[in-house]
Amino acid sequence: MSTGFMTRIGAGPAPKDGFVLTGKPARDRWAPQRTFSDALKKRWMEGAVPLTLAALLYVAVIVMTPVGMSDNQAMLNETAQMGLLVIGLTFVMVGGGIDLSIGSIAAVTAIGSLTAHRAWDLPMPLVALACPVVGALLGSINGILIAKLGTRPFITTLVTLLAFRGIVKVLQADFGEELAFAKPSGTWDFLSSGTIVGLPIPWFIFLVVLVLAHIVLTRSRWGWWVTSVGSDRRSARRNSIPVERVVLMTYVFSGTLAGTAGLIASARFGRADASVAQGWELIVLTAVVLGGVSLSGGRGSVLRAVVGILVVVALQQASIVMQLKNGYYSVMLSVALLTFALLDLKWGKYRHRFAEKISIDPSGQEAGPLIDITQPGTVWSMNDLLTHAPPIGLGALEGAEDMIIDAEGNLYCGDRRGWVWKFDGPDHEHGRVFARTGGHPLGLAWDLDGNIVTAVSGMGVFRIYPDGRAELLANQVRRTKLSVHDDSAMLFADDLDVAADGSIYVSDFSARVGAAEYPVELVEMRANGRLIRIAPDGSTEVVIKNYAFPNGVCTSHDGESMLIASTLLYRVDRLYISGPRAGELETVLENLPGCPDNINRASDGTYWMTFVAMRTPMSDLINKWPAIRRRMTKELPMDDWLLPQLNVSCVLKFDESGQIIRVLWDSTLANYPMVTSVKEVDGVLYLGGINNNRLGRLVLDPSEVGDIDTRVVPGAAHTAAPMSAAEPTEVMA
Amino acid sequence: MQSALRTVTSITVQKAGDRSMTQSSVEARGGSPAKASLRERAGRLDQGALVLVLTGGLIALGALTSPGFLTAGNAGTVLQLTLGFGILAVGQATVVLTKGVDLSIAAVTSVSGLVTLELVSRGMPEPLAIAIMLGAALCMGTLNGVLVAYAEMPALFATLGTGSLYLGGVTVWLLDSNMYTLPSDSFIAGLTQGAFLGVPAYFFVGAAVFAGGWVLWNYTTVGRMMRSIGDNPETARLDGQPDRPIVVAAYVLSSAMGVLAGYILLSLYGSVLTTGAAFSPLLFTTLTVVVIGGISLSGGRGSILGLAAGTAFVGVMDNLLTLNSFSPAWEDLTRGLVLLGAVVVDAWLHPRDEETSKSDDL
Repeated sequence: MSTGFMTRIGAGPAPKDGFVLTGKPARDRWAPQRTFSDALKKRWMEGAVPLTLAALLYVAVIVMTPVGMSDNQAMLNETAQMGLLVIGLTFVMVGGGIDLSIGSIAAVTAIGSLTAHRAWDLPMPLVALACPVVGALLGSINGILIAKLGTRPFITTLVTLLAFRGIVKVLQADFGEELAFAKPSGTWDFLSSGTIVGLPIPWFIFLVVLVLAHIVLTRSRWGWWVTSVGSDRRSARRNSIPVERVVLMTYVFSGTLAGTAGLIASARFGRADASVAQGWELIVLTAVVLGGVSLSGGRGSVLRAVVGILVVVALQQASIVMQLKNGYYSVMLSVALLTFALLDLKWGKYRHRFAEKISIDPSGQEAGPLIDITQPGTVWSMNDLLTHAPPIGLGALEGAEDMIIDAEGNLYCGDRRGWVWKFDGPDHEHGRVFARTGGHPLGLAWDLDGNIVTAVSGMGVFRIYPDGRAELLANQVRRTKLSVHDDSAMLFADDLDVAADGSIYVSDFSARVGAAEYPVELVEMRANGRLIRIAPDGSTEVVIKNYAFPNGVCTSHDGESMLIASTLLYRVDRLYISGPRAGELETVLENLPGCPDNINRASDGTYWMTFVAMRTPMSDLINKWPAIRRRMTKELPMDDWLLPQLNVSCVLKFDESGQIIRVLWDSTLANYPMVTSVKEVDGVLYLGGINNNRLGRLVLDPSEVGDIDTRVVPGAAHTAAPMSAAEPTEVMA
Repeated sequence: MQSALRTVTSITVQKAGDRSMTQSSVEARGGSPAKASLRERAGRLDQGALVLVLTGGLIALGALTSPGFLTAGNAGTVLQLTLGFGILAVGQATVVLTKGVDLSIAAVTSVSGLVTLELVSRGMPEPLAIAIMLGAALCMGTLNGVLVAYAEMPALFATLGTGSLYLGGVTVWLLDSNMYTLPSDSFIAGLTQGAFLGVPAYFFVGAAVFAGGWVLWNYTTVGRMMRSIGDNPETARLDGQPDRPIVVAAYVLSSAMGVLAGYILLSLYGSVLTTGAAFSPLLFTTLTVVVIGGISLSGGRGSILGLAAGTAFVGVMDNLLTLNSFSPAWEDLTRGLVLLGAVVVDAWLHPRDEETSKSDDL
C-alpha cells in the first residue's frame, strides 16, 4: 500500500436525503446535544469560553458605565504600556512559569532612566537603549534562579519583586531631589509625544512587539519549545529540548519587555517615584488569566491575552471615571482573577469529560406492528433448515461476515484479523490466508475485471487481485458543509456491490463511530449512515445521506437499481441508478420482524437476505422512548447496554415486488448463532456470520435453483470470469 | 539531576551484571557517610540548630558592632518586633507544611485590626466585635482552603487573589476613616500589658502559640496528616486521609493566627492605617522566617524549633539593620536578598524531581 494515498473526491449531484424514511419530524434531523458535544471537542473551544466571557465583560463595562469615546486615548495608552508586560507574562506562563517581578523591573527602568538622565547626565538615547538591556539583565536573574538553580517560579519572582523594589527605593532615596527637576531632552519628547507612521510611539512599539511575539509563539521553533516545555517538562526534556535554556529565555524576554514598558511609563508621565508601577503584577496577571492563558502552562495566545488587558483597562477606566474608591478596582481585579482562574482550571479539566458524557444523543423511533414469528403455519415460522448445514473452515475462521466463490469453485471470505481466506473448491476442505488488509473485510463482490472488491471495516474499500495483492480504492468522501463533526472518513464500510458501469456502491453504516462502537448506533437510533458511490475512476460521492444504518447493498437483476437494507428501520429500499427513474428511491420491504443485513441475488431472479437481529416488543418499546436509552448510556458500560436480540440465524428470500417467499432458520442456534450474509452459487447456499467460527454450506433443493449466475454483474456489457487473470498483475513498488 | 544520573548508571551497571560496581553505586545512592555529597550531608543537618548557631553569630556580631545591642531594653525591643511575625509564621508554616502557601495572611492581619476598631467605633461592644472578626477569619480561611483543596487552584494564585479581595473589600464596604486608634481601656490593649516574673506578658502569648504549634505538629493526628499531605499528596489521598478538610483546616488556622497577630500588633502600636498593601513587608518577613526556619516550600518538612530559630534570626537581623542605621530602602534590599538566599538554599537542599514535577507546580 502506498503511504501517500488520497481518495479523489468526485463532484456528483447533491445526495438524496434518507432522513424522510425515518418518518420523524424535521426537528429530529438535528441532534443539538451531540452537536454541542462535537463543538466542545474542537481545539478552538479551548480559549473560546474564557475569551467570550472576557469580551462580554468588556461590553458590559462600556455599556453600563460612563466610559465613552473620550476615554479611548487614555485607555489605548494604558493598554500599549501594560500590553508589553502582558506579552512577556504570557510567554512565561505558556512556558509553565510565572513572573511577578515585572512591575518592579518596570519600576527600576522607569526611575533608573530618569536618574541616569537627570542625576548622572548620561546621554538620553543611550539611556533609552539601555532600558531594555537592564530589564533583560534583571529578568535573567529570575531566569537563572529558576532554570539553573531550580527554585520555584512563584516564590522566586515574589522575592525579586521585593528586591527590585528595594533598588527603586534606594534610587529614590539617594536621588529624589534631582529627579524632581525636569530636564529637556529630544529623546524624552520623542518617546512621549512623537509618532511613527501616524501612531504614537508606545502604540507603535506595542503593535510591533505584539505581531512579532504572536508569530514567534505560534510559528517559530523556539515558540513551540516554550509551549512544549509548559505542557510537559518531562516529555520536552526527553525530546532533547533544552528545557533550562528555554525557561531562562522566557524570563529574559519578559524582563526586556518590562524594562521597555518602564521607559515608556516614565516618558509618558515625565516623573517617577518609589511607588511607580506598584501593583502592576496583579493587573497584568489578571489580564493574562482573563485572556485564557492557562495557569497550568502550555496553553495561551498573545492575542487573547491582549483582549484580557483591554478588559482590565476598561475596568480601571470605569473606576476612574466613576470616581470610585481605590479599593473597588482591586476588588474587581481580584474577583476577576479568581473567577477566571477557576474557570480555566475547571474548563480545562472537565471539558472533554463533559463532551464525552453528552456525545450520545438518542432519538425516538417508532416501528410498525410486529410480526409474530412464533406463530406456527406462517411463512415466518421458525424451522431448523440451516442447523445441519456442514461447516467450512470450522475453528480456523473468525468472523467471516461474507464470502464469494470464483469460477473454479474456490471460496474467499473475510476474517476479523484482517485476512481474506481462500478455500479450494469444490470441497473447500483446505484453506489458507490469501490476502491481508489490516481491517476487517466484510462485504465482498466481483468487479467487472474479475477481481475482488471488499468493504473493509475501519479502512475503506479495497480491491484484491488474483495474486493476493490488496489495494486501497477509497477511504474518504467530501465533508458535509457546515457540519461540526468531520464526516469525511469512511469509518465503517459494511457491504458493497458493483453496478453495470463498474462503479461500486458501498454502505458506510455510520459517519460517527467505528466498528468497536457499533452499539452506539443501535442505541442512538439516528440516521447517521450513508450510501457512497465509487466511480470507475476512483472518485467518491455520497449518493444517499442521512440513511439509518445502511447495511446490505445489492445490484438488482436488471442492473437498473440498487437494493439497500436499513438495519435500524427494518426496511429495504431500492435506489434507481439508471434508466428513466434514475435517482428515485422506492420502498421494497418495510416493517420487517428483524434487522436486515446483507442482500444478495438468488439464481431464480429473487433475492436472499439475512437478519442480524430480531425485533422484540421490548426493543420496539425502548426504541420509541429515547430517555431510557440516554440514561442507559450514561450509567452503564457499553457491554451492559440493552440491544436488540443479536443471536439469530434467519435467512429469507424475497422477490422484486417485496413478497417474502421463504424463511430458513437455525432455531437451535447451535451451529449458526448469527447469519449475516448468504451467497447462492451452483445450487449451494453459503452461510456467513460475523460472530461465527465457520461458514455453512447448504445444498438447495434443485426445484428452487434457477439458471442465473449470481457472480456476473447484471446488465454489464462485458464481465471477466472471477479470478480469471492468467498472469498476476505486476506488483507495483 | 545528579542523583537521577546516578540511578541511571546503577541500572546500566546492574544490567551488565558487574556485582562489585553495582555494590559501589548502590552505596553511593544510599549515601554511605564517606561518599555523601555536600548536599546530602547538609540535608541531614538539623536546620533549626544550624539557624540557631547563625543567630548566635549574628548576636556576637551585633555585640561587637553595636554598643546598645546587648541590653535588656534592646532585648525587649527585639521581642516586641518578633512577636507579630512569629505568630504569623506559625500559621504560615502550618500551611507550607501542607505544600501550600498563604499570601493573604498579611491582609487578614490588617483587616482584623481595621474591622474590629471600625465595629467598636460604631458602638458595638468589643467582645462582640472580636467574635465577629473571628467568624470572618473562619470564613476567609475556609474560602482560601476551599479554593486550594476543593477547586484545586494553585495556592499562590488563590491566596494572592483572596488577599487583595479581603483588603479591598473591607476598605470599600466597611471603613470610613483612614486611621484607627485603639482605645486604651480595651481588651486588645490589655493583651500586651503587664509582666510576669519580670518578663513581659506578651512573651508568654508568643510562647503559647509556638507551644501550641509544637503540640499540633508532633502530637496530634491532624498535624501528622498535614505533614504527610505536604510530603506526598497522592500517597496521603490513597491512604484514605481526609486531605481536603485537613488542608482547609490549615488555612483556617493560618487566618486565625493572622487575627491574633493583628491584635498583638494593634496592641503594641496602638493604631492601624488603612493603607496596607497586599504584598506588605509583613508577608515577606513571614515567608523569610518560614524558609530560613527550614520549613521547606516543597512541603512536609520542618520543625517548630527551626521556626523559632528562624524567627529569632530575622528578629535579630532586623534589629541590627536598624541599630546600624540602614535606610529603610537598604533594609528592604537586604531582607529581599536574605530571603532570596534562603529560597535558593531550600531549592538546593530539596530540588524538584524532574521526572515527577509538573509544569504548573509553581
